[in-house]
Amino acid sequence: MLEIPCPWCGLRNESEFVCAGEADRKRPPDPEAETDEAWADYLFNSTNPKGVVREWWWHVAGCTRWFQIDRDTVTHEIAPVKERSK
Amino acid sequence: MSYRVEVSSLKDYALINLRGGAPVTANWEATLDVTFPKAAHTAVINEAFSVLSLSSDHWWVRTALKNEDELFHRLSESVSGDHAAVTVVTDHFQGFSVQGADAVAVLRQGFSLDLRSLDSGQCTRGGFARCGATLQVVDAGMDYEIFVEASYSEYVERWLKVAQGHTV
Amino acid sequence: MTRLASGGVIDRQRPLRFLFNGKRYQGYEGDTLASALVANDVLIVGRSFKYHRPRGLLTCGPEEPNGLVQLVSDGDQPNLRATEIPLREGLEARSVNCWPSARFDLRAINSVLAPLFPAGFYYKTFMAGKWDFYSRFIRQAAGLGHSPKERDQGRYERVNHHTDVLIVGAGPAGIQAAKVASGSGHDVMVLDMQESPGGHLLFHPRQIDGQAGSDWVSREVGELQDRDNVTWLQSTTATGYYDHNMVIAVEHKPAESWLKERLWHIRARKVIIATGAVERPLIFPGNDRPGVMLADAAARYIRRFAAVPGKKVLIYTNNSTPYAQLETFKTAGIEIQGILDLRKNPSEAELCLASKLEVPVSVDARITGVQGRSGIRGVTYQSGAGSKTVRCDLVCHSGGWNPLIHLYSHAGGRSRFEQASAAFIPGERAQAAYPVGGANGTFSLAEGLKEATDVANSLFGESAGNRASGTPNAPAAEDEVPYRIDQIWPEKGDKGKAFVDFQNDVTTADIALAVRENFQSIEHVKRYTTAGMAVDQGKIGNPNVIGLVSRELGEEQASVGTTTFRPPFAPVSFGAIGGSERGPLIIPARTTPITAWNIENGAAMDEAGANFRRPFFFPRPDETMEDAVAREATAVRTSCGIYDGTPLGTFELQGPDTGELLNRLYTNRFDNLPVGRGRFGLMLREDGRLFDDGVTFRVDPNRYLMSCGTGAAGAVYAHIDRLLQTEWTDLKVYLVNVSAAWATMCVCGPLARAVLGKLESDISLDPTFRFLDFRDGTLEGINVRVARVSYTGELSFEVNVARRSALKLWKILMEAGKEFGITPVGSETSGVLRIEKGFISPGHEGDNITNPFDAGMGWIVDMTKPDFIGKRSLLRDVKLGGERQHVVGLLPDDEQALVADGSALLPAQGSDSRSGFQGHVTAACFSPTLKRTIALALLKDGQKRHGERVVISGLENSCVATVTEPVFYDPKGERMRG
Repeated sequence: MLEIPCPWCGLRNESEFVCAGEADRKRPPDPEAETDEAWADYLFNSTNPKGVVREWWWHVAGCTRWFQIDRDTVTHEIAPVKERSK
Repeated sequence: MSYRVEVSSLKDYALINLRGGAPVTANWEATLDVTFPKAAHTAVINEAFSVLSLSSDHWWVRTALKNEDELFHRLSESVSGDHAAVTVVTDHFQGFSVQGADAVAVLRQGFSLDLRSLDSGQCTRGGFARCGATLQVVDAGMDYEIFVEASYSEYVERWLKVAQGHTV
Repeated sequence: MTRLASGGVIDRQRPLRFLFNGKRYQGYEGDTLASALVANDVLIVGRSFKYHRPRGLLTCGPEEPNGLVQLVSDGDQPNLRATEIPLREGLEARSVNCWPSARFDLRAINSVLAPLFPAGFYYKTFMAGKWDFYSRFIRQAAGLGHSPKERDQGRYERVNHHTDVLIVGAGPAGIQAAKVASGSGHDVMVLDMQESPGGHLLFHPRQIDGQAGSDWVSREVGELQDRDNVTWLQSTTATGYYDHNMVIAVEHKPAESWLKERLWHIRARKVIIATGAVERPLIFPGNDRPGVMLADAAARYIRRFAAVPGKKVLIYTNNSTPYAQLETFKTAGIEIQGILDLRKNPSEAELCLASKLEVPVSVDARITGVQGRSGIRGVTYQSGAGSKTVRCDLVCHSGGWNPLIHLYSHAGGRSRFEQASAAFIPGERAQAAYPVGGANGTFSLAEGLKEATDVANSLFGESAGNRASGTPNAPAAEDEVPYRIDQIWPEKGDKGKAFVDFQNDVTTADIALAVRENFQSIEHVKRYTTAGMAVDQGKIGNPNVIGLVSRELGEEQASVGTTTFRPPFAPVSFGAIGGSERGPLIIPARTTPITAWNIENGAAMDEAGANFRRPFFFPRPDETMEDAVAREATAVRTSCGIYDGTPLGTFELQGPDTGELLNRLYTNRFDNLPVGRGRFGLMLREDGRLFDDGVTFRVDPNRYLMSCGTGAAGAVYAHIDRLLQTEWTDLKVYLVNVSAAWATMCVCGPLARAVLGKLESDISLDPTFRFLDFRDGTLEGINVRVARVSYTGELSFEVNVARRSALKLWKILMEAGKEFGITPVGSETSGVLRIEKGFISPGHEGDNITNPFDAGMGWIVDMTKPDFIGKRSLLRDVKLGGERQHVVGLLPDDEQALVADGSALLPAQGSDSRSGFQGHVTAACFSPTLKRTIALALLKDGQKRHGERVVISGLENSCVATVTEPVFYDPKGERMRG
């Protein structure tokens, strides 16, 4: 059971969160300008590295914030990511 | 034979959900003539109403049921047209009071968050008994109030009985 | 009966009667089942797993591989270790794995057939095809006890706990670490597996700080337990160490407690592992015979329980420990026949201890055989050139010590082989896990206490509490004899079975065979031989397996490495895992304010998704399901029906950009929706597939109310919230879940207007109240929002009311509708009405391939909008073209045909252009309105095939059907708009 640092609520059990995948995957601003291949890549592919990956997590059972963390997929070491101002 | 805890359903409360950033928060503060709690897990408790901080742009105004309409309209009108949300959520939640010397022994069966970190008067939201709850600490260690989504109310009522050591 | 007249912690004033394998015995309060059996001279406690050899107790603790019992008297629990069961009055236990009895086991024939059961026997013999035949016999023969047949009456609970420091093990090192850590003011939790604290001090008399070890334990623990920041649990086993310092532990409550077990989920900032070490067996032919026991275990039975396991003992060792136990054996009145020491050069100190008690020592000695099958008569050994025999009824052996590094290993920590102690000790650390004492390979009491002090000081010494009082020093202790070990493996070619894993019956020959068959990795040898895979998880045997493999491979033990220890450290009951969330709490069931009324009024309930149950149909006495559904459907089509639509998801969206957000979420437009109106919307996933649908109302210019499917509500909420918070952060919209705030009751049918018209209301139901309008007002004084929405194809009013007034209003509606024949309808009936109308259900017609064009819903897709979720993928679908599956209707020739959902569609006979699978039925029913079977289906190129014939292929019956438009009833929608 990982312990996830929510930027608002603090450390909470993984079970309060949803991991929403890699944060680098951003919806293209103009999807119609994308080639089929680029669009498919956005839809279906993750880099899935061995090592540090930046992820979106959603504190659905708490403050319902979406935030990013850097998680090492080998050691599960987690580092918070400074929040972008909205 | 079981834990020393009294559980009861809360009645006659109203909950108004507020979402909004700093500009609209100022409007609400002016409307209610109170400074909103801005830090995580904090609350401002007044005789007429309490304001619970649930996130940086999320509050609950908790008051008596009889004030629901009047408060909702005042809060709503003060931010009309702005990037804000004012919603009556009284019926979306069911509140329970968990009181007694073993209150923590019952609650820690459902909450995985660190109950040690919450003092009297504080509040938070977290996973609870697979359905989630908003927690208000009335008197740390002794007296707590939880609010669960109302569709879970019968389940949670039963869950709390079992957690106290009763047979259902 | 071999019980000492004095000594031990047993209460001789409180005798307890118990049954073991049907025979009556007596023990005392304070005994374990195992110690009581030792005191009653019960030698055979079980049979081995594969060969069914008679087995006696090998150990005194949770690592016991032989003494597995079925605890009949306490919920008929299987597979418990006799060494861990506190004796109770009236306890009844049976050996597992014996038939018909432990002493006379028919399956011991396996033992005679032993050459036929080498390592990998199962893999080699029971290949695919033969397994079905053999499994019946094997399953009967195998297994450790049987599952209880009665429901477990015990109560269990699961709790979460947070602490700064968790200390596992309350032996001397754990106690000392707790003292330092708690002095710092941190919250400290101490778990200990045994009933009393003290670890090995419970069994061995030692001196600490100039006083008896037991006194030191009582004083220190007493003080610690009084501290506010210390939580102390005995009889609690840490079973696993998980990510981010989460340790799970099982607390076994005493028999008189209302609770049976409590499962602790403990999140700690630092974990000190002080779990100690367990003794390792030596490997020699006949080392599994009843009467062969680990030396430390024998000493424990004597010291703690005054139970004496034999009269004449022969001690066999490769290390110094048993020398320190000679005194214990002697004072118990056991005749010590001698020490056989595998080593050539025992130390002066060791020899001195032996000569003081006049115990003969043979060095460079090796046991070659044990005489006796069900009990020992003597031992043959080789020392120098000669072979000798010595008479004895007990062999106590010691192969050194295994640090209990399980938790450290669960945490991800590595282990490394340390030559000096011939043990796998903690290596590279993962997580905040700090092993001290025996668990860290520090077997000396004095050094263990010092290590615990130093580690705790380095972690907590700097904190305020300890700065004030000064950092504590380690208490003084002396070791009787320094620990020395020489690992000497048995000669190859010794006759007789020498066991390395007692529970799974793995012998030296099996290990050698596995290596000969080219299993070189220790992980492969483990799986092939099953060594270390039994309930005891290799606690005592693993290092021996690794040692033998390294010898066979000719490699260093350090390079062979060890297998990974995985949780649980000890078996965990299902009761503890489930906690209180079983029976009526097995799922977090959700209800609506009408659920109880529905059940009281005879509804057959069915799962409705998202943990809701809702009425399936409302059978009257003597009605079949088909009758009830036909009656309910007919009521909706001809008079009036009512159903509880509360489980649907309801979200409020507020803010100036809500219209824009909805434009991007739905395939159609919403920014131009007038206030007071609703619109049906179709939501796609980004890959262009059907996701959800529902009606959204515009309540205010900046306030919309969205409804979505019950099962999809959670996913839709996540979808919108993600887009708002991560992608479209510039949109000024807030999303608020109000699903449970509103109850929704749908009054539908041609007489719906008449029913509502009976009520006192300020809402006019005249023709200006159009389809998809909504109006706010009161019904009989209750605040409501009435909307004209239809999921049945009939005139329909959806009454939304706050939860607090829902049941009251429902009853008012039922009363008002009485004269019009108002009929509550269930989800099965709704399903039938939907199929008749051909309304697309994303959960049925959407199969993760279907796009809106396939579903015939192109009318709701506005491809002229600049962007919406799914548009890009739809463009690709359109560009690619090709053959897709479309939603169609099917009318079977046999109007009464029973068609199952999911039935495959095949080309009709005579069709020459198509072959193979054509699609499948997504929903089928008997339509009470049309008096015939109808179905919706996904069919290849279906939109071009109306009028064609297909075969609906059922498991039992197939039928031929005509392909039609997917609407069977009121295709123009005049009824619902009327």
